[in-house]
Amino acid sequence: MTTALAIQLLLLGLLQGGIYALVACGLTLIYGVMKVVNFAHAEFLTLGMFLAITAFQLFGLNPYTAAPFIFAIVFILGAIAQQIVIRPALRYPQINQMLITIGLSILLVGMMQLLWGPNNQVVKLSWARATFDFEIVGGEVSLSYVRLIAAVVAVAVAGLAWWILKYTRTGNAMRAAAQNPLAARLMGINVSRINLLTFGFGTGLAALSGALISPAFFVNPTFGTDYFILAAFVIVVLGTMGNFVGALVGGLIIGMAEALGGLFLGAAMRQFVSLSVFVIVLLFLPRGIFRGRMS
Amino acid sequence: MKKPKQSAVCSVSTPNSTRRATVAGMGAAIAAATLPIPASAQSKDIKVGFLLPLTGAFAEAGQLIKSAVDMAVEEINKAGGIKSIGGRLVPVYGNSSSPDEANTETNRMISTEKVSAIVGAYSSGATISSTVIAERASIPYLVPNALADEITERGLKFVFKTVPHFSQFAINGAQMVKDLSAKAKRPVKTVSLVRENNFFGNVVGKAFSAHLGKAGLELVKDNIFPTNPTSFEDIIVALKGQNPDVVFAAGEPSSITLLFQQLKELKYWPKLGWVGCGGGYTNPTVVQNLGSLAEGMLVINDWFPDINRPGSKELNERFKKRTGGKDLLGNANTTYAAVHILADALQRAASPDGAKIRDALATTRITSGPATFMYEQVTFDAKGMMPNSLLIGAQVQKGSARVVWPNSLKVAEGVWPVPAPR
Amino acid sequence: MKMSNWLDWQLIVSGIFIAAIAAIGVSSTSDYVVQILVLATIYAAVALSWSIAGGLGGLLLLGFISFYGIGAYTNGILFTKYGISPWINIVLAAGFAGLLGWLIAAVTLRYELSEDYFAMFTVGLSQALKIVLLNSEYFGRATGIYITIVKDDWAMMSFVSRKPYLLIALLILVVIIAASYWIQRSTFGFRLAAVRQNSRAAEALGINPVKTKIQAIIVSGALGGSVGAFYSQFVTFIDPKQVFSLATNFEMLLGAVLGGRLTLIGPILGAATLKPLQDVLRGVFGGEADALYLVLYGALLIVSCLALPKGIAFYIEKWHRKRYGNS
Repeated sequence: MTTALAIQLLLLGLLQGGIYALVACGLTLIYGVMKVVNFAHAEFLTLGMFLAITAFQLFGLNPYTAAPFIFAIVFILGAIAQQIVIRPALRYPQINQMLITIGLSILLVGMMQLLWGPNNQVVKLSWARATFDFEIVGGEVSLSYVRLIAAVVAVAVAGLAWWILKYTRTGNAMRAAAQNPLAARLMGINVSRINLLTFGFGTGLAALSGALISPAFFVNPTFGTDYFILAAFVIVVLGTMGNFVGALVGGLIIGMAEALGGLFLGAAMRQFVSLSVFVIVLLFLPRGIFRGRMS
Repeated sequence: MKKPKQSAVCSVSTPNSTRRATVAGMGAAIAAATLPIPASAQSKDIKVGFLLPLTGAFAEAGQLIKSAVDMAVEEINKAGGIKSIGGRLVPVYGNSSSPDEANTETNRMISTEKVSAIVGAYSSGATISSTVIAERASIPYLVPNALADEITERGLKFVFKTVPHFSQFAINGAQMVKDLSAKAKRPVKTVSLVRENNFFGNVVGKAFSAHLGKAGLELVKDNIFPTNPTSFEDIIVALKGQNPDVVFAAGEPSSITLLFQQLKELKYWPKLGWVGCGGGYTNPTVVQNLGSLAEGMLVINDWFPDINRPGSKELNERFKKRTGGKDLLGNANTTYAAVHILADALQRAASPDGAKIRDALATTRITSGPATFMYEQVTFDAKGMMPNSLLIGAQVQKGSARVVWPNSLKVAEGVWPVPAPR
Repeated sequence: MKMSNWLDWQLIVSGIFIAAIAAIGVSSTSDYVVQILVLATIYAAVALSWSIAGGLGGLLLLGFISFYGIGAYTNGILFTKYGISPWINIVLAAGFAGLLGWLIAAVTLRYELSEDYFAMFTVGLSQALKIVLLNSEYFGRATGIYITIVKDDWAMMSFVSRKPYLLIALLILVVIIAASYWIQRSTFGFRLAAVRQNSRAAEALGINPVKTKIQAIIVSGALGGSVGAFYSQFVTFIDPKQVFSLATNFEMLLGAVLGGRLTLIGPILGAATLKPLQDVLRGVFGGEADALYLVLYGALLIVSCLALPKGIAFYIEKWHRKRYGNS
């Protein structure tokens, strides 16, 4: 194990963390504002990947050009889902809400399978495997462009989203609704509209992440649940449920933790690392590393 | 709590007991009505159950196999069906994406559909549990697509298996790399494994650990990765440290693109070559999607279209035409052969009776006909295993898998050592 | 026992329902029917077990499958490695699962984790257990544990026919029904309801909410574990992916919620209708139309949760009230 290799692994972990962060940000936003655990979040990520594939196959657009459109499309779809499915569920007990989002996830998997089939597909970018190489401490580190771009864009978008939350009127309205829906309503904020925008935004972020990573993976309808949902939940809890910056930081931490876990404990234990972090955080730091709400 | 006064509106006069009975009766009626109507027992057609993973993670493989079965059934019926009985072969499909489901479907096939034999079930877990049900009902069960040794090691009389034991992967795989290395005059000694932490991966791991030593090779490390990994970096870095001559790998299609992409990213390639074992690596979509990255990859499996056996190329072309370009790979080939083997047994049994078919299967001796696109000879031993089942090695050359080992079946020379893919 | 009493009425109807299932099963000539009935009974038993903590107790015990899986492996390991009879293993499984319940409860309730956290914790734990077992040689890793039975052996709960399994499953369900009935009539049930409705007010009444919750989780878990043990004997092959599956987990809970988790009859009704419906739908659509099945199933889930938030039993109870007046 040379130093260069160790650095390579950690850097890759960081890149992975960037993607995790964006996925988790959407999830935590939805929870923060609506207090709903969106079990269907991963399906929106998968949807983003499939849309990227279609954009590539039908229009020859690479995922990075198509990304803003994919975000917009899923934003709208998410908003529709919110209106039809989530909104009515908000007045019901927690368990009903959870089962409804689970139902939504099953429905989405079915729909994606109907539209795109159950088989594995991939975005065949010609430069999908090109790497950016550089020398460090006498060894070589290679990072694929796809991963680099995906991570950088993901973090940038998350940063942008954070800025929107902090400095725009709508963003502030979201944070107000998150802290105290009743008070927000009394202040004249249209909480229903906020919920709509939040769900659309959150799921749009997930789809965006999907589009960004699409050249690197084989996609099938259950991809999101298989690969990302556990990490997303771990990160949301680690970063404090509802805390946007927490999700960002948490994502990077988990990405690195998994890399370290893989390095020292072997690949099979990677998932175990995430789950252990999850269990430990829930037990000892139940409010996450940021005790508060959305910053 | 005191009971308030009875409501002024009179309640319905039906006595409680009758009402309860009616509810129970309705429940029973509904239950009965949801049963599928059992097929008429009048016709002479022979029903055979096919347990396949038509949904879920292996749905792609399951659907491919179904197409192969349909093709075989069509061919048999066009040639006159099962002539000794005077009826056609009728397939009954059931879903086996989990042992639970496989059991339920097996029961349905036996009790409701009244099949005379069963073929299945792709995943070892589902096969292990459903064969027990068939055994109890004295229905012969042919396994052309699940590998677990236990299937034939439990003393069941009605179970027959045409695919080799897991240990063959290690035995044949080791022999192949030794032969290729001897020809290229390059020594081969160390081996590393890269395999998924699932059923197939686990048994492959055990098989290699047990048999490599006997073949004179040394297993440096058994690298295990979890199902649905998001990255292979740790494995690849570990491999660099292990520096083996050859890497043997097993996994599902979804993880393979990522693995190969990261192999390129991290610039690692074994000294002599990379050998993929089984299903995932022979998945035609995988080879297609990997493009140039798959060039030179060696794959071990039951059969490849580009093989030195009679009728194989034509068969594959027929299948490709039928499925819009898909090769007869991934146990679609073994299951196709199984249908013909079963038809041969049905012909000799001349009866839809399970026990007679079982005996006919046990005395199978096929040396010509449709099944020889794959097998030189089909016989079963006392445990129900096919003794001459063999695993074959092919190499991806210019985008398609061509058989390079063993010598009697090869159509091309293996390129060894394998240069790292561009 | 009075028909006019809602709880008693449910008990009687449940009894009739079970007798009907037994009658259909025993007289059926189709193993397929019996198979479906057994699975429906198992799901009903798990749903009812869950409803003690998750319904009566109001706890968001989302990751219930941990208990089921522990129970399944208890029988799997003890039976195949040590030859211990499943009859005993079912009881032992209840013990282990109950112990797990105690651990979960003692650890999480100490911190007063909010509901959502508690729910996520239980889900995360179930997957953690799955991964631990996947990596454990002793527990069979991904290869799992299989049981081979070719002849009858009453002492070892091994049968050639599926029918004895149905009777045993129904027996287990009866025990769980009795437990739920007894709880709902007892002061424990009263404490559960009080804590569920208002923890602070319950405390003011002198009830210890934490202790009550711990007890509820232990009971639910133990019962769930015993069903899991039976399941492993019935299905004869278990692996971590199967018995710790989140999909199965949610299916079982769905039955309880749709049926009406606060009632005795709700979970039974819900699970017993949902499971066969699933199997039949799968059979009808199956294969290529699996996507369609998923869409329908997902939609069904959503629509029924929206339309019947309190479950079907809620309407049955309303009818009962009208019929018999308040009691």
